[in-house]
Amino acid sequence: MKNWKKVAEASELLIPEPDLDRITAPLEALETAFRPLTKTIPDDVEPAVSFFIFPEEAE
Amino acid sequence: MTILEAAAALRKRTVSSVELTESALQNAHDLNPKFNAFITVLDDAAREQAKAMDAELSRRLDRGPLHGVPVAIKDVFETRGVRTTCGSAIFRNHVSQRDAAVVEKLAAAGAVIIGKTGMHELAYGVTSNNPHFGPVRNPRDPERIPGGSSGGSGAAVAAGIAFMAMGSDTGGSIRLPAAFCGTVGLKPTSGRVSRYGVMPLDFSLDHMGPLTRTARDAAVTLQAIAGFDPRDETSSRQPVADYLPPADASIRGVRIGLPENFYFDRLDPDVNGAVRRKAQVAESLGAHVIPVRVPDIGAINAVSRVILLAEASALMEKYLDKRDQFGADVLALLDQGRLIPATDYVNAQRLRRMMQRDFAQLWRRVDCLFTPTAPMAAPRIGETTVQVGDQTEDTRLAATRLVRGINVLGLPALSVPCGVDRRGLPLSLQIIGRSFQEALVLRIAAALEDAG
Repeated sequence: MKNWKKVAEASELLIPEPDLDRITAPLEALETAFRPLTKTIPDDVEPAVSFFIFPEEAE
Repeated sequence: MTILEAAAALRKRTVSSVELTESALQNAHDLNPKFNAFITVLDDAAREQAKAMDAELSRRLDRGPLHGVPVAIKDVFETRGVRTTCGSAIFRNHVSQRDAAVVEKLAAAGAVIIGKTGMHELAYGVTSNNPHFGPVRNPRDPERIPGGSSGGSGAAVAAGIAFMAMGSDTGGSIRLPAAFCGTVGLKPTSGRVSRYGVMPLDFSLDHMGPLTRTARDAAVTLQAIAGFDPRDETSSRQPVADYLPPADASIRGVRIGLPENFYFDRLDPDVNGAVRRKAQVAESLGAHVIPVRVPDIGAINAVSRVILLAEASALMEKYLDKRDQFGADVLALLDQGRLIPATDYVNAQRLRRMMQRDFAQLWRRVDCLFTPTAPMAAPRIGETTVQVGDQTEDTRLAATRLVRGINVLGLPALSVPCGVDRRGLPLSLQIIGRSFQEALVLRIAAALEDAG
C-alpha cells in the first residue's frame, strides 16, 4: 500500500491530517483498480489528449 | 406540454411567449422554496425576450421550435452581465463578460432563458446537495436528491417550470438527474456541442446537452445547439444531422445490444426488470435485441476517475489555498487529484485510446446498447451509502458506475424514463450510440415513447 501521507508531504501539499485520512481509502481502491491496467499498454499507444497548435502561437 | 406542443400553440396564437414565460417565472418563484431548482431567476431579461419573440412571430419571423419557449440553463454556462456561480463559493459573485456558445445559440433559436439552475458544487458530484446554495430537491420526492451535477436542471424540467434545461455531463451529470427526476437527458458525442464559455470541470470529459420531457424535445434542442465552433479546440466539423424523429418513427431492423456483462451485474431488481421490459418493447417494434459482451467497463471507469481527478485538481489548484471555500466532498476529490502522479494521468489517456478502439469493435455487431442509467432510484438527501441489491455502496460511485465510462469513450448517450420502482420513483434506460449517431439514438427513444 502506498503511503499517501508521505506522498503528500513530499509534494509539499498542505492537506490537513484528518483530510488525508479521509482520502486514503478511495485512493488505495483506485490504485488497486488502475495499477494493473498500466501493465497492459503496448509501447506504441499514444495518449488521447488533444493538442492543437494555432499558427499565431507557433510563431 | 412539450416544446413541440408549445411551438404549435404559439403559431396558432392560442398562447403567447409572454404568457408561457410569465407562467414559467411564476412557477420558478413559487416552487423554488420547495425544490431550490434555481440559483438565479432572470425575470426582466426573460420578459423582454418573450415580448420580442411574440413581436417576431406576429411579423411571421420564425426561428424554429424553440422560438418563444421558456428554458433554463445550468449555472455553469456563462452569461454576459449575469453571475455564473458554478455552484461554488469561489465564484459566488463571478459576473462574466461573455455568453457561452450554447447561450448564443439558444438566443439565436429564439428560446427565452428564464434562469440559471442549481447544481452540485463545481459540477463535481452527483447529489446537488450544495453547501453554499442549499440542496436541490427532487420534484418526485423532495426528501430525495435530484441527481447531479445538473440537479437543478432536472428539477426545473420535472417540476414543469422549464420546457428544457441545459446541463453539463463529465461523468453522468446530465443522465443521472434525468434518471432520478424522470426526464429525458442527452449527452451528445464529444465535440458535437461547443464547450466555449462553460466553466470547465475536466478538459477532456465535459459534454453539454439538454434535459427535456421527451426525446423529440431533446432532438429540437440539439438541432439548435450543435455545430462547429472554432472557439472550442475539441469542436467537431462533422456535419449536423437532422435530429427530429418523424411522427411515425420506426426502429424496424435496428440492432440493439443488450450487455451480458457488467451493466446488469449489480442492480436494484426493479431497475433490471424495467430496462429489460423496454428491450422487449423495442423487439415488438421490429428491432433485433442481441446479447453482447462489452469491454471491461470497470477498467474504463478506473481510467475515467484518474483523468477526472487529475484534470479537475489541475483546474482548481490555484484556489486550493482557500480550503474553507469548498464543501467537504468536493475538497476530498480535489485533494485526491493532487496525489495522482503525472505518469498515471498520461497512462490513463493512453488506456483511453485503447479502450476507444476496443469499444469500436462492438459497432460491427450492433447499432446501439440498452443499459440502465443508474443501478437504483434516487437516494435520500444526505445518504452517503446506498443499498443496491444485496450490497451497500458509496452513493457517488454507485450512481456513476453505469454512466461515467461513456464520457471517456466520447459516445452519445440518452437517458429516458422506463417506469417506476415499487415506491413510485422513476427508473431510467440509457441508450448508448456510435459517435455522431444522435439521430438514431433519439429515434429509438421516440419510438419507445410513442409505444407508451
